[in-house]
Amino acid sequence: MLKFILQRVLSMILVVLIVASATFFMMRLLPSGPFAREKKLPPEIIKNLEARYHLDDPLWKQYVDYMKNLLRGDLGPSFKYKNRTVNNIINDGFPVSAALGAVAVFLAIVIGIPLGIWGALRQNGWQDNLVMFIALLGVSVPNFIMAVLLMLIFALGLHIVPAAGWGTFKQIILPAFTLAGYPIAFLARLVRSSMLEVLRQEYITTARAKGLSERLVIFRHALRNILIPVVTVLGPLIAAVFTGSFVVEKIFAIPGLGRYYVTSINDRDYTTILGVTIFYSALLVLMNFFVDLTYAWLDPRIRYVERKVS
Amino acid sequence: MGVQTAWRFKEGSTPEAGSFAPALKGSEELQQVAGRPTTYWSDAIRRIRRNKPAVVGFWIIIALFIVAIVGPMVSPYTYEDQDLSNTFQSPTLQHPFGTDQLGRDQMTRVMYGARISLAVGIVCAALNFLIGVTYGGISAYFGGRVDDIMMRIVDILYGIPTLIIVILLTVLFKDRGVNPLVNVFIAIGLTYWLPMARIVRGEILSLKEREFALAAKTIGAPNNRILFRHLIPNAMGPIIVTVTLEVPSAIFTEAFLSYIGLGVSAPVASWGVLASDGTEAIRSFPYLVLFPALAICLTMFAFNFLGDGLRDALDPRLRQ
Repeated sequence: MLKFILQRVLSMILVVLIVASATFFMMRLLPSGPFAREKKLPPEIIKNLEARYHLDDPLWKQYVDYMKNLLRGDLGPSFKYKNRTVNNIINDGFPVSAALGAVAVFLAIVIGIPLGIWGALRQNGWQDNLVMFIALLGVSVPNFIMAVLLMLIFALGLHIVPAAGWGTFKQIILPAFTLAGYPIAFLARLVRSSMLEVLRQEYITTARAKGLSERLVIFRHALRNILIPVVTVLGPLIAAVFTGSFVVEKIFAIPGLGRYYVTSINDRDYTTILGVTIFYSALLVLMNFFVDLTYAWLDPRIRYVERKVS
Repeated sequence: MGVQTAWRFKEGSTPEAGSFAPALKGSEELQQVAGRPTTYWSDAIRRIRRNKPAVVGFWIIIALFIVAIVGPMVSPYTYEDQDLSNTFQSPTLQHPFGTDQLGRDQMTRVMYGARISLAVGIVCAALNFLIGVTYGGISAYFGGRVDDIMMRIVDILYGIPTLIIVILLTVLFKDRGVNPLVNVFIAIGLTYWLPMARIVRGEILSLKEREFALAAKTIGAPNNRILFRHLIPNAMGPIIVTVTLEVPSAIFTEAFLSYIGLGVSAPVASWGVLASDGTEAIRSFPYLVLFPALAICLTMFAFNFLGDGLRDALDPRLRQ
């Protein structure tokens, strides 16, 4: 187990360093430069600006400096906002995004999993067809469309919840459901198919033969075994929630990291793009690591098998 | 009732008990009892025909192509004709989807957007097909160290949210002045092949151990011939399913990129641009966002329905 953890931590660090380097050089490859404006700046000012951000150093030195700072957790200044660092931006935006994301993941779990179980228990009945239809709806409707449709119906049509903003409980509802849409659908499909698979296993027949109630068979014996596939997809689902936040936060005017990221892309604020990209990758890699740990813990078989990609 | 109907009853109709009768020895009818052999593909076609959502999806896609090709040709307006005396019109007979902030006919723009979205879907799926199949095929066929290194690269790329890679690539090429549509093709085509590579690798790993591969090797077929003529055609089922499901995700990504301002630029409009413009005016003119939004949803449904049906029909192991 320890060897497994150590291996994973090393590969995590490697992945983040590769992402950081690739993004760094990509940003430096951009032809327009960070200070290209509509109105041309006098050459002296550009020179001063470049000196301030050490852009006049040779590229390898800039890279080494950036990496050194990165190891200390310093992502450098923002090119766009004079008095803000990328760390400031992440500190401001991430808690908001994390809160929203947590609500969305929670919704996905408490809605998606029961939907999938319900569908599987009534296989090929109308309930099952309904669940599968909802699931297909959920994976088919892009999140920005979902945001717009939910806003049209519930905020502008029925006036149940506010259309945008951040801070009150009511304002979380629409963006959280928008972000949860895809994960709900995904989980429902996955749980349904895993459940169908598990219910055909012999230990389920054994449990039934022992005379256990259907409730016990489902919740004690079947449910535990579908948790493993569910846990393995949590990583990608969390990634979907992150990237979903790019547009959802923009549409609902939520001051989260996703919105800052999109703004920084449109502003060509290179250091912010770079820093936030590294932050997202590190976060996702870390989440995947926790997911792996969880299922190694859930399923003892995985721990002892040498990990080979199937 | 002839004797042969006792053996070969039509699909869907249950033969009555009385219609069964032993065939006469030596009769010609006895020769016919086998019927036509069911191949993998004819079986798949039969199964997909029975899957109603998949059939509906298929016809919607055909209809979308017809509208995308013919629609802008027969429309009295073009996607860039402005009519500043008729801005923000509600849907009428002249403008069934209304007009936008510059008085352009929204229906023509949505139909024109279909061209862009479908083109993106198909070109990107084709690129993913080429890259993913080649990459996964080579990785599995040569195995060993080659496989280790190639799959480690895939693992690393998997660790980064795809959308972030696409965004970075788009920014990179956009600022170098690449045509925005070509840019979208490149960015999506270069990133979305990872699942394809993994699936093809898994298939080829098991196929290359089979006897026909060995047979090809013993008669001296070169590696690329074995890989591309013998192994990959046998993995076509899962590949087709993956390609079909890749189309809607490419369409979604293009709409997403356009939505955040990285896609095609004015006056050309993709569905993402239309939805983005419409969202700006959502409070006063909700119909502007409604039609492009419905168009995107309809397309995604159609491809996902078809993809799901194809998966059930072509890849029984993945059946969900």
